[in-house]
Amino acid sequence: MTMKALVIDDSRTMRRIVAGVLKNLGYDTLEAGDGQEALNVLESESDIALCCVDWNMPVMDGLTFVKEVRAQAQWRDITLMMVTTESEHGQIVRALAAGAHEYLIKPFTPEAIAQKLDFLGVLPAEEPV
Amino acid sequence: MTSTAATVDRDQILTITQDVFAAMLDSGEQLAFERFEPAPEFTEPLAAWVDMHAITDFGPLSVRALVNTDMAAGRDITTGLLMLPEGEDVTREDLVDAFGEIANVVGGNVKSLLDATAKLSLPQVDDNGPDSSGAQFLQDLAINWRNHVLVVSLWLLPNTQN
Amino acid sequence: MTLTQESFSFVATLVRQKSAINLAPGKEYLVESRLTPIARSHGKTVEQYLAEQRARLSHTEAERIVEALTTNETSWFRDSQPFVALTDHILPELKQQRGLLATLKVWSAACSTGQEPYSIGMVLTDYFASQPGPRPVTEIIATDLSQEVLERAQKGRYSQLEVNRGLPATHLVRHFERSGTEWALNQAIRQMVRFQRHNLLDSPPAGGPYDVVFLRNVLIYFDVQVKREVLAKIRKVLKPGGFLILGAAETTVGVDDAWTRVQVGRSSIYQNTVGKK
Repeated sequence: MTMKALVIDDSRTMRRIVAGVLKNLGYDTLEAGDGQEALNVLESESDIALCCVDWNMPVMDGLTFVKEVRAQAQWRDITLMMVTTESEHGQIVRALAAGAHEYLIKPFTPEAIAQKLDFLGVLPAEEPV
Repeated sequence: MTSTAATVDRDQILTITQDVFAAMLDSGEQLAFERFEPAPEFTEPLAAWVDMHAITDFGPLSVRALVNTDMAAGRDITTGLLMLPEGEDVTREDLVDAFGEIANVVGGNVKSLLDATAKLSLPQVDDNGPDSSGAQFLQDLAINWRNHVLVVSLWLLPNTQN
Repeated sequence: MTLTQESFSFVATLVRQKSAINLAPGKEYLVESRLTPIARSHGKTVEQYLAEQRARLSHTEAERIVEALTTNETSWFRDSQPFVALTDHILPELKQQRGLLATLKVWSAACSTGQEPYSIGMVLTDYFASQPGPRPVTEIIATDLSQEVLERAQKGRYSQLEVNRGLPATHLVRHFERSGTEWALNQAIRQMVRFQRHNLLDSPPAGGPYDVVFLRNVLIYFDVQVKREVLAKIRKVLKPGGFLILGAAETTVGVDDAWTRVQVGRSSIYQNTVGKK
């Protein structure tokens, strides 16, 4: 079964770039423009394995989204990776403390995403189902 | 302690710009270098900018990060970023999205150096650039990227109520 | 593109002769980019510099050209498995061999810009912090042929792009501090590593005998006879029961039979069983 990923960013271009990389890695992708929209997607879709979340978004920012997801037992197994230009040490600590599994600073190369997903153990395998 | 806009030096702008181009367009390879000759006049100009607003100990502070280049660069940036076929024409919408995103990531990294709590505006793209009346020039840097020239500049904006 | 076909072919041939690496046409931008710093240091453009070298190739310049084009972007915790093996298998084994691990000596041969020895440092620090009892006195000797990469490694400062490569965020926040646009490794990790210029064809660096040697993705550049010599030199400074870690898919099989393969996942880990109790 193909793994599903949710790309959350208020920039349509950035969603397109991240989703493009994830698709090349074997994911099916969904998109949301802010944290609230993303929660709605999680409610209505099942089996989302990974969320790539921007920090600064209107309505609900990425940090709040991470906290909301972590507060729900039903979403316990979802891998959360922040993808953001926020690069202050304290910001990263906050994100990890809130429950993000990984943190990718923009700008990033496609390889960097692949590497992070690899050691998180969520790279889609190429084995036959 | 919050840095002021004046302490974002040219080397840092250079590093940020180089990293953005290397990572997002050149698979990690550094192909953007500082240009020491004066920038040429852009015959088909294109500009993108983001503004950042912070409340510092010294009062409100607004800084603009502006990227100026020409359409040819804009097209190469667009095809590269959006993984479109190289050398082909791009829609205005894609151009605005892609080039705006470059300004967004450059600006986001500048903001990161200035103040974590600053807010970044949405990127704007226009052929001729923003209205800079009242803006105070802080820094600029010319870049050679592949066979293109870009100019990245920082401006202090007159304080606006936000 | 200012690079002529002749210059590109010249570089491609040189690189192919001195390393296994094939520069296919289309990589002109790579040549231009990688050689710009060298050309600039001579006050020339890349094409001018290459035209000069084509006319009369200096041995030093040949080395510089090949090195500039064959350096790969190094990542942290490269291949991840060996670092897991270090804590899950190697350290417990060593403790079992000796009863108490009072000292630990690691040699990172071909350390490049430092990501490997510093990754080792981070893994060991985190591991010993979680273990009861006193921490062993740990020394990491890191060597490379290139003075330039050693100088960079010594600084312990990395760009945002470099820290994005293979470094878990938890390690980033625990062991680094942000410094402008760069990330600086904490002193606690930096002081675990001693950098030294060294040619693998020479006698091993002082500081041994070692418990663990990392020799990753270097043997591939040597022919069988040289591989044998290098491995024999290393075995002489590796304690009995000590471990050799090669790059993924590298092997000592068919080259040197004094090593025993250690079954740890897909890693290429070997044990020096000569003289082992």
